[in-house]
Amino acid sequence: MSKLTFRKIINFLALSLCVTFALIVMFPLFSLLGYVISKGIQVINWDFFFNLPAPAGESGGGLGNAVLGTIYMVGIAVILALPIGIMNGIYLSEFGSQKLAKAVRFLSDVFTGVPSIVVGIFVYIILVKTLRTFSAFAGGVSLAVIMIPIIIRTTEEMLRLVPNTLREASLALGATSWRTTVSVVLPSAAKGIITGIMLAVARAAGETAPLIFTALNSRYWPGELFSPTASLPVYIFTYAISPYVSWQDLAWAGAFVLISMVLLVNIFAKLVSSRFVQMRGE
Amino acid sequence: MTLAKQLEIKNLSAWYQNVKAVYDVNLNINAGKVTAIIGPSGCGKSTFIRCINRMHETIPGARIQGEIFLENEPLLGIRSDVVDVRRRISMVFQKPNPFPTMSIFENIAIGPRINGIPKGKKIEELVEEILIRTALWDEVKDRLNSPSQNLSGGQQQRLCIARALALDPEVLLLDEPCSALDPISTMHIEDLIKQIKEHLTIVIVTHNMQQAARISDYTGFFLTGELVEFDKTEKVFSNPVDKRTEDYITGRFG
Repeated sequence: MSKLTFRKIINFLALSLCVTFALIVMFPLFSLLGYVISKGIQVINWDFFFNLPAPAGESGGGLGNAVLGTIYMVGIAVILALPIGIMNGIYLSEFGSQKLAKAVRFLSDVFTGVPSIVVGIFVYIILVKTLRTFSAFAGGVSLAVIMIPIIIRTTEEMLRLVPNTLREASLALGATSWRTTVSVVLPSAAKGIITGIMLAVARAAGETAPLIFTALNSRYWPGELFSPTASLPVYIFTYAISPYVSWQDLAWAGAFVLISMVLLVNIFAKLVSSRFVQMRGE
Repeated sequence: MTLAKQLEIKNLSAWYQNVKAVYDVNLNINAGKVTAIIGPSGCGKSTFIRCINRMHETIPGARIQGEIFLENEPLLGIRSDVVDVRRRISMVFQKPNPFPTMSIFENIAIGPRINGIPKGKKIEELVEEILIRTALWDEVKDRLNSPSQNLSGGQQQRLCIARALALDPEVLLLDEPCSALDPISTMHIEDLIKQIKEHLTIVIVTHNMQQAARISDYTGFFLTGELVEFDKTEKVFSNPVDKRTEDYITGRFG
């Protein structure tokens, strides 16, 4: 066998190995999606979105309050996490060669790895015990704590990808460094930052553990900021391990809706960021 | 249009961390003329012109010592404002760097928008004026709102020159503006420089000696951070005083 044929065979083998492992990764992902979708679609109907849960043993009822509660608390979390996360990311990338920046970067890395149940206990102690009630606000705070480090790191990394020549061009025009960040650097990195925020939203939307400690659960529609509030993940958890078939069905439907919401958020993010770039360029 | 002003550089030295890149340069740059700075790679010529509009300071650990005056006004030190210095001394960089998220129009409009649009003038008029002055108007007038990235490399660089001129500067610094361009685009830029030099003090760094000979009135030759020779361009190219200048110009090294 000539040397060239040998090299070609090696190349082919390496390539097939990569494809094989890519397929192995995709298999559990698609089987999970397929299973949840097929189970969920059988039991989902309009009642699911517009009704409150039915008492145990009765059929029918929905998880409208949980869908709304999840949107509500993720909304609170986004309002809290966006300014903190983005400002920190800007600080680390644009102004962060100081010691303080290194400390912030290290801490946000540590925070990414903190188990979400620990976040739950932490918020339980500072917000639930002191206010003496489980609440949507405490739930939103715990989700924000999970989102913030993700937003910080993606913002920082996306800003770092913006070529330095653009910063120089802007500074050389007599722009201050803040103006440079707002007018030149942020718009150039907007696509990546939006994607990062959406990833953080998707991650937070599916969290169960911190919500059990903070928002608990509720059989009623959400509304009050400082009352226990229902959420999809907690309902899925409670209903999936219950002995009633009608509840288990609702859990499947809930899982299906949750996955769809996360998927929609991602698709929406892609649309928004591409539209955003187009508009800037027109 | 403001009048061009003379630049006076006294005992200028510059460092990166502990590495000294520019050694004790003394130089007068004449108003309304084109001054070329030539020299081999790494001789400190880019560092030198980046000191003039204080872009050198944006690099962490970088340091400048000495004095620079723009018509008797000090540019370095606490009495001058860095934002004001950069508005009055604009700069064009080696690689064309129009803002990718902005349209052609916005790229030119951003400078005046940041620094204030002159009274009684509309931004549309200002942009049109600048584009006509830089001979870009006919090429881009139908697509002012399309992304700047759609332009060719040479057009992008001319757009960057237009963007710098929109600030109505007194001095224009060009840091190897043609090194990433083809010969035709280079010719366009050289023509442009000849057209605008009347009202400006232009300093151009180039490693292309023919270019320096073609467009400049004065030439300074840098070697290992030192200004070896500075004189009228014809004099430097035809009858250099220093042996090292002669060696470089005749192609014995560099």
